[in-house]
Amino acid sequence: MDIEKVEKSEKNPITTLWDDILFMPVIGLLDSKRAQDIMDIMLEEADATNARYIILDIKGVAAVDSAVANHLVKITKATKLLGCETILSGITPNVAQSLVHLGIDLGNLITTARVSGALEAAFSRLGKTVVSVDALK
Amino acid sequence: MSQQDRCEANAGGRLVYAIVQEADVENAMRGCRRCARQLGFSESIVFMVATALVELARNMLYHAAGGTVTINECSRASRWGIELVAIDHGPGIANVALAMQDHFSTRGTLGIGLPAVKRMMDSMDIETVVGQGTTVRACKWL
Ligand SMILES: Nc1ncnc2c1ncn2[C@@H]1O[C@H](COP(=O)(O)OP(=O)(O)O)[C@@H](O)[C@H]1O
Ligand SMILES: [Mg+2]
Repeated sequence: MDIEKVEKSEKNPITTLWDDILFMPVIGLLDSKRAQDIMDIMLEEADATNARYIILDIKGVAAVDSAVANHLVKITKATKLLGCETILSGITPNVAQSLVHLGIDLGNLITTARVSGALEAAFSRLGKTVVSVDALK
Repeated sequence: MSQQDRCEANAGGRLVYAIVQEADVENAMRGCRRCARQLGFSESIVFMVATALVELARNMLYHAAGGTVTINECSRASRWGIELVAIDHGPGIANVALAMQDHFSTRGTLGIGLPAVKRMMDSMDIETVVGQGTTVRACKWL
């Protein structure tokens, strides 16, 4: 067992939320070491599971400075190369404002305020939908 | 920025952080959030001020081998606010006007940190002497 690797994934848990959909929450403050760890873990898991979407939830990130924003953009580009698209959730009005002040353009990245919105976006792209049981009666 | 634009440091509520490694940035950022919240800033301003502090602290790490950030409560007339002061004894900034431009960086990074701090805060002022160091002050008023 590679202890360092185990500790890395303990600090940065990633889960399969649904077939083809991974979920990774980020809390605290990103620095380049942690951003690299997160990128490694996401790429490894995307590769191992063949997932099509990763929901990266940054609601718990305490500040988005230019370095953090740059890391986030890099992470999403890297997963895309593996055929796994990152959906950035937790784009609260706070985060959005900071991004505007930074002048960071998230381009055509899918961003949502809530994780549920991100899940919905992934579902709809995978041709799935959530239906209330009542509607089926 | 004029002298007037600076805030007077208040005796109470002063937090000082030495910034020599990444972990110090996170600590200072937490202190900044706490202070801004206690002063009564909205969550979105708390986030913005914390982001500005991270930007200044990381500049000291990347461009000046570290320094100190001080977080002050400040007041002017009857207004209260928060003041961030980042002081280092690094190489200084040769051309401040250039450093304040979007996308200018001497390290090949994004070069949007200083101009973003200016946009996020109400006032910002840089004092720098090449070969001696840099002091950046930024204020946000309630
Ligand atoms: N504390 C500092 N000491 C020396 N130079 C600095 C400092 N902060 C900023 N600079 C200079 O100003 C430039 C612009 O800074 P910034 O806008 O934060 O962009 P970046 O950090 O990505 O280079 C830096 O590349 C550097 O040359
Ligand atoms: Mg910078």
